[in-house]
Amino acid sequence: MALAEPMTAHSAIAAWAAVDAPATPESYLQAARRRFMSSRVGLAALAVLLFLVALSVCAPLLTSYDPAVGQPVDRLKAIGTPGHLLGTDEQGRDMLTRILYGGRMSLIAGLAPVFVATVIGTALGSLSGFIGRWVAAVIMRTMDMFYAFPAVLLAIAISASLGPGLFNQIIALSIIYIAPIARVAEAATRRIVVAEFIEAAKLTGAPTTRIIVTQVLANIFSPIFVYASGLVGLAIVTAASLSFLGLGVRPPTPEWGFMLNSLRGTIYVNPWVAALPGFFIFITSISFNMLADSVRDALDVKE
Amino acid sequence: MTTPPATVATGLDKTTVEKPSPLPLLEVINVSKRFPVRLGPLKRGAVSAVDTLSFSVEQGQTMGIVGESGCGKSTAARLVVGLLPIDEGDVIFEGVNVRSPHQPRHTGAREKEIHRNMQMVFQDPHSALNPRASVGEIIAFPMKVHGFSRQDQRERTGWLLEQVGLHGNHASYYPHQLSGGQRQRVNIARALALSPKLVVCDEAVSALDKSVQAQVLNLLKDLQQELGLTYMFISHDLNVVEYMSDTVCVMYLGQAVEICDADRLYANPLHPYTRALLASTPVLDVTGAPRPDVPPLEGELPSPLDPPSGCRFRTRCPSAMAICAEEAPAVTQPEPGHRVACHLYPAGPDAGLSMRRHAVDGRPERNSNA
Repeated sequence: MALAEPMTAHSAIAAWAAVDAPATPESYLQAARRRFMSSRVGLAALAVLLFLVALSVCAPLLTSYDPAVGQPVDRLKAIGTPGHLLGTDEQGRDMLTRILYGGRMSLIAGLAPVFVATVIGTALGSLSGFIGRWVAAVIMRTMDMFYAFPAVLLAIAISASLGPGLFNQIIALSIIYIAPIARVAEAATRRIVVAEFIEAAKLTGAPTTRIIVTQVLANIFSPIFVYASGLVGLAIVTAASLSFLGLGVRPPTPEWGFMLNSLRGTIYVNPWVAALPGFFIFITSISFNMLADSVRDALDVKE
Repeated sequence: MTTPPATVATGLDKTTVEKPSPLPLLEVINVSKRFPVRLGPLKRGAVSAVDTLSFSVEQGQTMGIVGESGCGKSTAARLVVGLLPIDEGDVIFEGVNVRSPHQPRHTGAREKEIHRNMQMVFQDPHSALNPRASVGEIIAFPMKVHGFSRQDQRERTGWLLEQVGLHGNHASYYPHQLSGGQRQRVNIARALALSPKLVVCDEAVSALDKSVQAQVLNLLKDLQQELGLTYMFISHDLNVVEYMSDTVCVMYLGQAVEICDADRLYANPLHPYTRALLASTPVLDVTGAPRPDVPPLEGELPSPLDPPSGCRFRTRCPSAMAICAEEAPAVTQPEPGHRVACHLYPAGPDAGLSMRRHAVDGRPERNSNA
């Protein structure tokens, strides 16, 4: 195309729009992926998380120590001790080994309840946001009842009634996170149901559930995703509290939160070692948050 | 024009223009809608959005509905297509009472068939299209709900895109990649996806630039001719309504005040409100007949929470009389086919008229709750 004036971005778009047969543009997901790939923070967070997952999964290959059994003579070694790169804990167990194995439990304890709560909370929240009236009143007031208790207390109560163990801990944590996710989903749904495209969908005669699944979910996904990924770090810490009370994984199985609690007493003796599990919880949690932010930015098409 | 693929199986193929049926396609009879509102902790009231509205739309014609913002035009549209439940009155479509508070809501297949025949073009090209769905998905969704095969959906989507002046490749675009006019074309294509008989256009061009408005209006007219569509065309823009409509209904505060053929209404408005509205519209056509010389309306629309007694327009009417505050004006017919509700035109021998049977006479009037 021979243009007298220099081709500015604006004139390029105008020229493109003037073409009779438009080329196929990139799809929504392609565009989202391209935007995500150009976000350095998001890629770094993703890399850190994949690295942590790989470390936990490959733990037996990376260390020869037993995570549950220690050498009492080697108690509370400092970081950098030969043979114990990250030192040892109060029972002489290798910290690197326990961090690697503990990552398995912590990542499961953090991710599984948030995933379960997101599925259930989104279903309840979008339903009540869409239908409103008495349906919303019943669902959201029930959610408010969960809000009335401190989350940790509620988790303790549920765990205690179900009995100890990782699975029951996941159930307890799932239940306490349903309410906040349902609230986020409800608010997002209420913003979207007033749009005319929802009325258009109603005019097809499609049933409510179908309209929610096809028209609402994609539009409320990003706020829920961002909120839920922020809960992952919190879930790891709450899981730790339950373990501390003997309601989660049982000692000597390593788990970051529980390790943090049991190393509390050595904070004046060996502060860097005592802080290690907390450091990993922090890294995991902040990586999830930054990953979520980048994914949200990538998914946000301007409307 | 190419032949449309995947015509609807129930004999609703709109490419063959049918003879005008003896009955109007749509009759709206004394329809009312009130929205409850809270005025205080214990006090409740109701906004009378639409009050005893009646009109009928003939097969293949365009009924324009015009009035100020807040006069109940959009509510009327949503009552007709069933997005809002009716409080009182009936909507008769093809001789069948489709929505009435006195009978249970049609369900399942029947409801789907009603929806298939009545579709709507929405006002806001930004909120009318799902931002997360491609144009193809948006247009195909009604067909998907109505069980079209995948191939039919694809073929018909391509055909519809061509019909509304877009390219088949636009199916893979997302709404934010389209201009306002293009979005409104997609909006129209979606409304036509199920081959409806009646298309309700709710301020379909109000959000568009003037130049794009003209394109979309002409598109709507072309489609009406090719597909034999019947329009209920709602707008606050008198010029647009004049251009589009065969018949025009003027609404004020939820009520129809005047119904007439478009040409006659614009040449000879009878109701003081219609006169004031026309006088307030800029006229660009200097060669045409001058609009009536009436001072423009002053003040705001009264609150529909507490509409004025008698005639609702009396608070702003330049020719208000004592009787206007006491009695609601009856519908009269000062000239054939031209009906108006105003005390300036006393009821003659033709008392008991409604706003409905404005165009075709010699047909029995249908009573409410028929």
